[in-house]
Amino acid sequence: MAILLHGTTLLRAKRILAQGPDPDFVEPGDVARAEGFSTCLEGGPFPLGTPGEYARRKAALFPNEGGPAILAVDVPDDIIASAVSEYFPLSQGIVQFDEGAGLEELRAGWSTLRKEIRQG
Amino acid sequence: MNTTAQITEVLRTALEHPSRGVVGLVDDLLRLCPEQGLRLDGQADRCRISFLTGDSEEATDVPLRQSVFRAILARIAVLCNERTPDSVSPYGGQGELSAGANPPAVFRVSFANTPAVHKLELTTEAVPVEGDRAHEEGPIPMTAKQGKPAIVSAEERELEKFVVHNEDLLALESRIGRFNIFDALGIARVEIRHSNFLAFILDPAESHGQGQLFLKAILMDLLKTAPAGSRPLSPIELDGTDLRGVEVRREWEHIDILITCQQPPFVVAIENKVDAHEHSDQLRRYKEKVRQHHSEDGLLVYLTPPDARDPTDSDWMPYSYADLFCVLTRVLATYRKAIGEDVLVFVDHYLSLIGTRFMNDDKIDELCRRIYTNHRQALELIIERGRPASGVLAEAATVLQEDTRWHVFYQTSKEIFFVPKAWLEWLPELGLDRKGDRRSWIVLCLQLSDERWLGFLVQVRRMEDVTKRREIVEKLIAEGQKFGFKYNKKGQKVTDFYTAVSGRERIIKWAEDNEPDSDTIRAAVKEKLDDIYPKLAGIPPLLEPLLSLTEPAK
Repeated sequence: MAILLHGTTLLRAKRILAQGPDPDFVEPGDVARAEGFSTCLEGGPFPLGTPGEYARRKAALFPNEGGPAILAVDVPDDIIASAVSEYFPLSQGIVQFDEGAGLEELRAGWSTLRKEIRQG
Repeated sequence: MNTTAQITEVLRTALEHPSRGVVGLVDDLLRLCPEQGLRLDGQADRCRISFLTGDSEEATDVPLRQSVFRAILARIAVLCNERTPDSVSPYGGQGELSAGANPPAVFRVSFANTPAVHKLELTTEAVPVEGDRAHEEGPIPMTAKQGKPAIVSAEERELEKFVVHNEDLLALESRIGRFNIFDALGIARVEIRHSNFLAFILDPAESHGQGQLFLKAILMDLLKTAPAGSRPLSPIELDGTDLRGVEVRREWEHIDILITCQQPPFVVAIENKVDAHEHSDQLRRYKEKVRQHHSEDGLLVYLTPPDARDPTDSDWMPYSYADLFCVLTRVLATYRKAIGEDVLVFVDHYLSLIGTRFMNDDKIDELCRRIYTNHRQALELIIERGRPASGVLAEAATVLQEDTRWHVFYQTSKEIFFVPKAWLEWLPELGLDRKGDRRSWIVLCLQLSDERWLGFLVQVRRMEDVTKRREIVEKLIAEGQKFGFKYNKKGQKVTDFYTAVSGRERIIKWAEDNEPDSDTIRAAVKEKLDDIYPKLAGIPPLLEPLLSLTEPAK
C-alpha cells in the first residue's frame, strides 16, 4: 500500500472522495473530459510540482470551490503497478491513472480504500 | 548540422519510447529543440510536432496520451518556476527556463495546459560562446560548432545525461559486461588464442576429460553444413563410429587447426579469422598443402564471425561463430551433468564471449539503437574527444600529479598543459582560451606525437591584449634558451592565437607496437621536469616588466 496525493479544490476533493475519480468530469468553462486521475506518492519526488501547489493554483482558478484541498488515498501496490508505464516510472513519484492504465482498477476498488481530505 | 527531418525523427523516438520517464522526456525535448524553435500541439491522443519557422506541411503527428502531454507541460512549468518563482501556472503561461550548466542554456516557453488545450512553444536563447576555434594547434576548446548557440552547456548536459540514470546503458553493460575469463586473459578478439581454445576442446586427448564429445558434435554440424559432395564422410557414418587415431594440430603449415583421423580416414582444416582478412592467397596455398599431404577430399572450413566476407576460394566452406555457438550450447544443454564443473565454466564463458562479441543479439542491437538515438550527441562527443590517452601520456600525467611542484591546467587525449605551481600566484588572468582558468595563457606542454614520441614544448595561448602578447612571444623566443627552451632551427611562426615559443623536444621515442614500460616513461618525464624546473624560475622576472605595462583590453 502507498498513500497517493491529489491536489485540487475542496469541492472536487469531496466529490472524488465520495464517488471516485471521474474520467468524464469536465471543468466549468471547459469542454474536454478529464480522462485520467493524476496523483503522486506522498513521499515524492515531485518533478511536476507538489500537490499543495496544484491545490492552491486550482483554488485560485475556481474561487467558489471551497479553497485548496489535498485528497489522500491509500492504494494497494497492485493497483499502483497497473498505472506504472515507461512515461511514469514510480521512481519519479508520479502515479497517473488513465483509462486502460489503472483507472478502472482504482475505481473498482475505490469504496474499500482508506482515504481522507487534507488541508491544501 | 541536423536537418529538421532528423530532429523530428529523434523527437518521435523520444516521445514514443522514453527511457527516463516524463522527466527524461522533457530533458530530451530541451536537448533536441532546434534553433528555430519547436512547437508541440496536443490533439486527442496525438502530438503534432512542428518547427516555429517551418511551414505546416512539415508537421509530424506522434501518438501520445493526453496525460503524458499534460505531464510534460507540468514539468515545463516547474522548470520555469525554478528559474523565476511563480512565473507561470501549471495550467499555462509564458516564461523562461534554463537547463544545463556553465553556462546554462535558456529557453523561452509559451504553453497552455488545460483538458481542452495543451500546446507548447519552445525557443532557445543564444548564449555567448567561449571564443573562436581559429587556432592552429592545441586542445579543442569546449566551444560552439558552426555557431549553434548554447552548445557549450548542451554538450555538458548531454554527457551528464549519458552517464546519469541511463538505464539502457546499464542494461547493455550488464548484458555484455559480465566477468569473462577470456576477456580477463585478453583473448576476446585474438585469433591465435581462439584457435588454441578450439583445438583444446576438439582434441579428445586433452585434459577436459570429455573425449570425443565436443569433436563429434562440431564435426557433425560441419558435415551437415557441408554440401554433400564436399563431405569426407557422411553425418550418419560419423554418428555410428568411434573415431580412432584422431590428431588435432595447431599451425600445421600455418593452418590454424588441422584435424586428422585414421579410422575412418578424413581430414578437416579450419582457418580461423576473427578480425583479420585473408591475405596473400593463403586459402589456396593451405588447400594445396592439405591435398598434397593428406587427402584430396578433406573438408576445408573457414571460421569467421557472422557477416564476415566469404572466403575467396570456394572450396572453403564458410562456418560462423554463430554456428559454433549453437553447437556448443546444445552440447552443454544435453551433457551438462556429465561435464566437469571446471570445463563447464570455461565453455560457458567461451559461449558468453562469442555470444556477445560475434553474434547478432537482438536485445543488444535494440539497446544500442536506443542509446544511439537518445545520446547521439554525447556519443559523438566521446568518440571525438574521449579516446583514452595512450599509456605514455597517462604515465606522464601520473608523474605530474605525484610531483607537487606542478599544476596541470587541463589534459586532452594528446596533450597535458601545466605550469609550475609557484606561477599560480604570479600569473595574471589575461588568457582567453580557458575561461575556467584565465591564467593558462602560458603553458608547458607534454605532447604525444602521432609518430610515436612524447615531446615537450612551451606555448603562449590566446590573450586579451594582442599587442602585448606579441611582445611576450617575441621575448620568450629570443631568450627562451636561457630557461631551457629548445631552440627551434626552423624559427617560430608567430600568430595571435597559439604559438609555440620553444622547439618540440623529444623526451622519449618508441617503435611501433613497442611502447616503453611504465618505469622508462616515468624516468624520462621526471628527468625533463627536474631539468626544466629550476630554469623556469627566470620566466616571471623576464615577463613582469611587459605584464605590468599591459593595459586592460578595451
